[in-house]
Amino acid sequence: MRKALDIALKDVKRTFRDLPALATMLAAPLVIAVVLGSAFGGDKGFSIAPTKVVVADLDTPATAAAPDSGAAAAAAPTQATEDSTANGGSVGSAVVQALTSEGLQALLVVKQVDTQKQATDQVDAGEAAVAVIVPAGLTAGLQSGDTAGEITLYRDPTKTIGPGIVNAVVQRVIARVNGAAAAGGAAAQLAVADGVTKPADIGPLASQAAQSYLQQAQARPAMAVDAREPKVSAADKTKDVGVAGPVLVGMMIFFMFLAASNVARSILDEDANGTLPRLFTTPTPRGVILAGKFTSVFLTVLIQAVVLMVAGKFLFHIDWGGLAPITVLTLVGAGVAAGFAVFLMSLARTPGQAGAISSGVFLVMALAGGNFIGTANPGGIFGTVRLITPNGWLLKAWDTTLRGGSLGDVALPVVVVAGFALLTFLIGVAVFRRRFA
Amino acid sequence: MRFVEVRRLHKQFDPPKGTVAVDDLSFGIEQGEIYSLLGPNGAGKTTTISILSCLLRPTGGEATVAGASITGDPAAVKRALGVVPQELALYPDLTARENLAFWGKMYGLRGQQLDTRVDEVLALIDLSDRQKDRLESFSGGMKRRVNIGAALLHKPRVLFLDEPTVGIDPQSRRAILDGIKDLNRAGTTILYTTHYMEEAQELSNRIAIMDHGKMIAEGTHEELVRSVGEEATVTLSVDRDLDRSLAIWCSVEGVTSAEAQDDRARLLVGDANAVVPRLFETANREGIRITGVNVAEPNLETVFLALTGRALRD
Repeated sequence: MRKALDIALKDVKRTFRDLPALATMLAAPLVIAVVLGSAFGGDKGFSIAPTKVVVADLDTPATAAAPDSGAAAAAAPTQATEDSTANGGSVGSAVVQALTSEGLQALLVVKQVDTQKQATDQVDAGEAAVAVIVPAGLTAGLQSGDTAGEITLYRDPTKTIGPGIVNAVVQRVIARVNGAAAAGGAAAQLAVADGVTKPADIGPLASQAAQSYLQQAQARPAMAVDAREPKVSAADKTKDVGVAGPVLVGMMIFFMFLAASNVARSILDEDANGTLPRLFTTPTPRGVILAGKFTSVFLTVLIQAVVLMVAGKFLFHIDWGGLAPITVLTLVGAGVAAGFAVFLMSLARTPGQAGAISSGVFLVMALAGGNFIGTANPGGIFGTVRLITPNGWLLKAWDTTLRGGSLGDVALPVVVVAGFALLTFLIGVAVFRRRFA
Repeated sequence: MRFVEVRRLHKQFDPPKGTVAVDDLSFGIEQGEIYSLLGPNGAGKTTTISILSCLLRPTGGEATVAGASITGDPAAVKRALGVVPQELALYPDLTARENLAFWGKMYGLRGQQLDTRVDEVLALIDLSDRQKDRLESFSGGMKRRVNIGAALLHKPRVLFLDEPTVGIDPQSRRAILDGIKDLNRAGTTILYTTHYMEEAQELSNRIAIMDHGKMIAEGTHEELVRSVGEEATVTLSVDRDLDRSLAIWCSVEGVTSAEAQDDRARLLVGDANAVVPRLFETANREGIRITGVNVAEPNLETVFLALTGRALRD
């Protein structure tokens, strides 16, 4: 076995002296992960940067207007709700209060300005992603029924996620206001039907119905984010995994397969270059030589995974999860990459063929497995299809681990991936042994 | 039993219709001998060495190396053997020392013993000062020397060298040939394949000439030359009347045959030193002007030509 290890270490040394190979193994996954992570927004690490929102609430009288956002407004949401309803609050103040609610503080930074021009100027200057303009007299118009009213969203066309959130929040406020108006109208009609004919009597009834609707609506959460999370047993199952971890895991797995195929191809390279036949003339059994080659594939990919995880830890502050599931997932990940690589190399006759076959197969596996969308489970048919590949199972397991899952939580994916590894490796070994018998 | 014994060796690729690369080949090599397989490309030399190195299985026959059967005990054969393949079989991205150390490990060397042998071999191939340089920075001749050195680390009792001087400069070739002689003087038995008759002639105790997988002649250089006669070939160019010249020279004492070949007269003569002056005298007398002359003493090329009708380098 010492000779097998000598062969493996020689191959690992050669691989880590090969700058293009290193770029593929280590630099490419990190760079692509950064690029993909940036696509989600943010220039610090991989987190989604808060969207800057500017609000021109012209509807609320100046004395009642909330100060600049954030904490101050969010500190008293209940009071704001009451202000906007029972105490004659405006639609504008309801919009401000919704945008500055506690649940959105990580996503939105809200600033209030006095005029519509100030708001649009800030968007034009790139200082804000979206401006919300609540026109003067909107509440009064709605109450009198003279006008339908209109809230304007003025958005930076290059931004999508932040303005989308703001739009959803404003739509929700409008829906509540419309609902309150409808409740008031319905109460008035019911009063008329019951014989109440004096406007002085109908008005308070309608107002009371509208207030009641708003209070009930306000009692529900202001904004809910539909987050999908796997079931984990750990206590901190609500742990936020961020963007960096899932994206880097996807890239790491994809490039582990590519690196494995690169190293496994050295079997064919050495055969073509004459070093493998020369090895066969030494007093080293062929099984030991092949074992050495296979070990080198596994070791190289294992080192690659460890380096990438350490880089992720220090560069992107990724919390990979518990040591036990990390260790097991890294080992089975390296194993399945090595197994598949050996299997695919055994199907090829030349190094050129091997490169084409492995690149194509691993790209398809990555697309089907979901490597390019991180660890998130997209659900639907794709969520099922991805589990045809070891990539999908690995991503599923890593997602669980990133969220604090234990070794027991990833047992099934680990077993499935190990099965993939064993099956492909045994087939590859059998073909190679037959070829070099 | 001879140190290397080959009996009726046969190798056919993809039987039953594939190429027969080695056909009923038998020879033996004494311990301490340099034995050359000489033949053109495709003669079966490399296939023979591959079989004797346990790299290919024969489809017939048997061979032993250092008393061990290549089919029955290949591990013992490999322990006794050092193989220098025709193509460079090294790792260009490793240094000379790393390459030698790796191949030494494959022959079971470890620790201090390995370090010592690597130092010795580096000195032997005269590359001690370049040991830390990667092979990709070496010249062709230097790489060839490392290629040979990698087969010497375990002090093999028998060394197979498959055309080790192909494609290198004359100076490096000279160094390699001298090195092989030194190894042989140190007791290493050597099987050497080449298509350069000069190398076979210079190095070998005995030579086997191969063509189309068969051995067509075997013996010492002198024996082989004698087997086709000891006549020299004299080639003469004349300004005119080639047919008349041939007829005249046919009757000159010492000329055994004369024929036209490529507008020149090709004569086989017993003793070129004695006959050539007579040829000139006759030509002067008959008014024939000789415009060119070449004298070739009998050699392995002559032998190959006589046995196959083709030149060795065809």
